[in-house]
Amino acid sequence: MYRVAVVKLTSCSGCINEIVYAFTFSDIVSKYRIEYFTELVDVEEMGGVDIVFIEGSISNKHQEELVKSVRAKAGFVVAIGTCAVMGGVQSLRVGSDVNDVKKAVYAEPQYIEVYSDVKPVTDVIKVDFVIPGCPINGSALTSFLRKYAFGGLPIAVHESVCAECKRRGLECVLVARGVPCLGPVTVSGCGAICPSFGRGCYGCYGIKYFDLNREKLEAFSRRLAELGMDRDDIDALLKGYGFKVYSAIMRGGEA
Amino acid sequence: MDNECYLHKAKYVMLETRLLNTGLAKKVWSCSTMNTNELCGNNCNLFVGGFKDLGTVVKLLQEDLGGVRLFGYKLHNDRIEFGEMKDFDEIPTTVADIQKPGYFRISSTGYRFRHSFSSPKAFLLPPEHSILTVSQGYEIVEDGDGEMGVVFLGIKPCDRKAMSILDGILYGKSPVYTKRRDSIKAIIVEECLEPGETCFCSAVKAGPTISSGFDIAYARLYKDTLVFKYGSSLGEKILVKAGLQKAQDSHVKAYFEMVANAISMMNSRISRVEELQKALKERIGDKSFWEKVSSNCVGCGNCNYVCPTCFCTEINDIVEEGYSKRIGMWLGCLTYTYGLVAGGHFRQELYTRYRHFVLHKFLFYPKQVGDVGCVGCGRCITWCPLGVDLRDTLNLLVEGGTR
Amino acid sequence: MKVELQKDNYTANPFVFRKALVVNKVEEAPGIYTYFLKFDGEFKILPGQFNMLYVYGLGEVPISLSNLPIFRNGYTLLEHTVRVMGAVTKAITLGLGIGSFIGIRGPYGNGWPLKDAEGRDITIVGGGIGIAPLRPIIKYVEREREKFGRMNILLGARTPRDMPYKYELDKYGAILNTKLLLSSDTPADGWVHHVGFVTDLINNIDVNIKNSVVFVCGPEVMMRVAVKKLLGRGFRKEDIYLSLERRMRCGIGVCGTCQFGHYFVCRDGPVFRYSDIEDYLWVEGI
Repeated sequence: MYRVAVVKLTSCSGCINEIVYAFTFSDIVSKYRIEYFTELVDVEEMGGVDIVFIEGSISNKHQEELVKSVRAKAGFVVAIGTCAVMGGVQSLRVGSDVNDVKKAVYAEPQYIEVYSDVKPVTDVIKVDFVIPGCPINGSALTSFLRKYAFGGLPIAVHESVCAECKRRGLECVLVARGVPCLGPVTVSGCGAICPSFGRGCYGCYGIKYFDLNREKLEAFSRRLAELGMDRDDIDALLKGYGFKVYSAIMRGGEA
Repeated sequence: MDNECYLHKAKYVMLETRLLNTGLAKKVWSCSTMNTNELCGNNCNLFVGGFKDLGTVVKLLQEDLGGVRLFGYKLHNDRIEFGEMKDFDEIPTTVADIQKPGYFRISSTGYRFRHSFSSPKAFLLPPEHSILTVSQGYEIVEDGDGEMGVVFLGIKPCDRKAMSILDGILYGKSPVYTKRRDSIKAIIVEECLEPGETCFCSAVKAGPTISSGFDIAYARLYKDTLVFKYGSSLGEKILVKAGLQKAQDSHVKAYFEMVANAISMMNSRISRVEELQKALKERIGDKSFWEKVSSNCVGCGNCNYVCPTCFCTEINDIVEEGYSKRIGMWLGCLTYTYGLVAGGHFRQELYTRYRHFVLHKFLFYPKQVGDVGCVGCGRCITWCPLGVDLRDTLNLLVEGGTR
Repeated sequence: MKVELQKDNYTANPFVFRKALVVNKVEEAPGIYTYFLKFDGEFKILPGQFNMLYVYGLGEVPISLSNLPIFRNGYTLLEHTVRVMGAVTKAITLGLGIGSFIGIRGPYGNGWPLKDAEGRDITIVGGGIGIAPLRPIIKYVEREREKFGRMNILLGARTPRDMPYKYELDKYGAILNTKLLLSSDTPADGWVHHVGFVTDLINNIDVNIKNSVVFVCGPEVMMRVAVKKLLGRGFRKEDIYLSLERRMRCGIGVCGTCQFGHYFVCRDGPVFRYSDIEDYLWVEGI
């Protein structure tokens, strides 16, 4: 029996549902015991565990310290969701004045303690495995849990959403209908859900942290502009989920 | 002129175009020395009919073979894809495709369809296919699918050439490919008399006509005027049974003129492919050249997946409760994972993977299967979301310089 | 339609593996283990060839044969030395103890050209885990000593601790007409051998260059340096053999991921004559 903990930071909790769902498979439940999971188990403090899943991004000092202590208590750390892996959609606020942001959201902003920066978990501690997604694909998690139970890990396939799109036999929405689509520069894993409904990918698994540089991303932006997209919309879309990766690429060099 | 001479005229135009490209144009048209089979095969024994006759031909073929399924390009919800057809009339006859780098549309103003993002590869080597099912106790669980018989209807000469290339790599080796290849009982090819804007099949000798490796071929002279020919005794039997008329001189003349025009149009778009190998050998280690030509490439792999000859696969274990399914899945060489191993990466930089794509098609395939691995269908150009044009790279290679 | 296609050596499903039992496991060095695998039936495999080892639910890894195979009483005993690298090798080394099962299919690849090496001097240059595929050559030459000329064995590792087969290295040096030279990239207490790269030792060997065969295996950088040094000493391109590593998934030349130039490493290699790969070996990322 592997002991499991789930720790939630700043996020919408969408990935939590996928975690709960994964633990409904009998072959998985038989190999894992949930020790700490605020949504499921009535335990105040996380003890030592074999695996911890960390969901969400880091917004303040408290979360940063929590993550460090969690790392010390866990044998294996999995960052779950685009927030934990790349900062998620909330990192769009980076670059704006943090007080303005607080005021825009909260009635009494003086009680809100947050960094001006948003940190992915992977920036703060060493992570053993990542599962991006907004939310994550449940089958990626069950695959991880099943393979970890045999002493292994799923193979890492680093590719664009396009690969999954073509393997599903879908026609490219960008090429065939001029629909702006972030598939070519977005990490795979979703199974090309949006293109399967004739929509463009909006990059919720985050910008590819491999193969891209400023020149390539700019060429891609020009392509979206040719399809009639507004510059601001393109920027928002590219920054959207993988802001940290996007800004690293645009600062120069490869991600 | 008789049929033979029209053929020679067409060959002459073809040769002349080729020679003009190399700057060595001279009169070479000589009726007595030409191999009449090279262009269309079977001494251009042409028949004429309409789509109704094609329907008859398909029906007779199905009856003759018994219980075969039809696979081909079919029009469905404004989308054309390669797949199983309920009936021959699903074949696209009332629409045209408009293809440009990074651009594809179906238009109702024309009637000539070239090809779509999918190809016979989707049948022969499915994007995800089971290679083995294993129990937790390391026992093999047999899961063979039943025997089937298939007729390919309306595939293009480039598609047929792509099958020969895949045969060279996979036939007799890959279980899924071999089984599916063996299931093909007959091939009906549609020749292309008006190439698309991204087509260059004639430059790599993959089209626009076909001379062998098919049972029946047809070309659409006009909307409902088809020129038929047979490429096998089965094909001959069926065409005779269908009672098709011999083509008249006017049909033959129009056919060859259109073929000749198609060839000269395509050849004018691309440099001397025959000089590519030398250029590739010289440029193989020229990092800055390859970085330059791949500067707009984002490594999405669309070119690989739409390519009718790309066959690379990854093998992934999908674990279910109590057993594991080993799945072969398409993995393009443009994707980051290609060359990535635990503890290292053989092709970390994207330019090396773009280079591999080009080298493989034009330098390595000839050594692997005895022929260039590109069939000039232009799918990689049309379906590249950034419109990266392989022909630009090839032209730069042959003409030198980095633009 | 006449389809003239050739099915060579085609079996119903080449991905079917044999179920093998782990009968022994030896820790060679940190993260390097030798597995002794036993299964029913005879199995022909040559030095330099490899097998695909399958771990249930995780996948396969190509692993070279690391000792001569034993056929006895209707069963086969094979040795494979595995280094922890990725998910599958980690699962093998950490998870598979004596008494466990593993899937095995093969043999794949061409192997070292030992027949051609008969009557000639043999030089072996191995680095790190690259020593494993060379080890069966040493065993073979020891067994058939009179068939070969002088043997020079040059082995190197990052540190003395990382050297595999430490317990039997002395025996290699004791083989008739054989010289063993060792090296460690970094100095260590009690290390009396060369400190530096194993390729440095190429200049120190006494060998009839005109009648020689060289077998090299190790990291690609090391093999490139070895080739330079060997050519510098006057060895012929045709006499230098390298065993290459690539990303391999199928072992039978259909998955396409192990391409090195126009070669499929799994089928055309993994052992290549340097003269056959000279156009590719120096091209970064080929």
